[in-house]
Amino acid sequence: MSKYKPPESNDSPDLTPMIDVVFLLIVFFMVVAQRMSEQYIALDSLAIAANAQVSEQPPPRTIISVSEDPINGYQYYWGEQQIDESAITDAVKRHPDWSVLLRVTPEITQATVDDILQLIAAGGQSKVIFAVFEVAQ
Amino acid sequence: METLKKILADEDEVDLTPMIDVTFLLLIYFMVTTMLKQPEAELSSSLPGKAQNSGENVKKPDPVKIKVQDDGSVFLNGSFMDDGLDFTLPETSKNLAVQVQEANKNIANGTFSEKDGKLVVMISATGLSIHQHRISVMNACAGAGVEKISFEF
Repeated sequence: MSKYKPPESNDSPDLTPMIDVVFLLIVFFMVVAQRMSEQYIALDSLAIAANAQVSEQPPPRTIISVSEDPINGYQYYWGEQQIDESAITDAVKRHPDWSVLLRVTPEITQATVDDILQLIAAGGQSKVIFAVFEVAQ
Repeated sequence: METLKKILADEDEVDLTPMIDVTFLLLIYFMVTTMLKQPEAELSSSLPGKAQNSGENVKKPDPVKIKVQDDGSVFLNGSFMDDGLDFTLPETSKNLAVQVQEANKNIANGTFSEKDGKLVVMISATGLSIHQHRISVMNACAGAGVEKISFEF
């Protein structure tokens, strides 16, 4: 009796659909990560307010960020672009119907914030939203 | 000849395992970096603008005036409330909640109209107090249900 040879079979699973899905997920997370970082510069910290609400899909607004550097002093940003303090009014005037999102580190004095609020008011905008964290980082 | 035919007939398969490993690593990297960013919440306010003349005979409740001192201590209509060390400002929050209830009662019984009867809080902070202290007051207002917050410069 000749030796019985079982027919050759290819039982290995086809991984192509899994690789397609994984690449789609990668592209999704790459796009989401980029979108989250493109609107404004990162600040070291924000003030804490437990009763504040996270806005899921906020309307477009003018984003002004202020940070303090021990060497260079106060630094002002419009979106991701660094600007002078005097340019805040013009930035607000660009979109007069947009409210202003003001992001300030918590240690900055009220006198500085009041100056910025007056510059925003001079731009014709009265609605100011302060960015905060709900809990400490 | 037979051996040559066999060699040429053999299909070359590419091993995809390392590619899948790298793909999963990239996926995990982007998932983790996306989740790490803490979401930012918002507190709204209005800057003092032009006074709107809503009529001579319109009755409005007096606004509540909150003052924040250099050290963060909070005074409501001249009375000391909190020392500012606790950012939740418990006494201020309690007092504001009572005032909001009072304002809503006045709207319900017709003393004030709905448009003009809402409690208004004016916050003034000294120049040397830090931004966190004013945010703590705004946070207390949000917790108490105050909808109209403005600032005094």
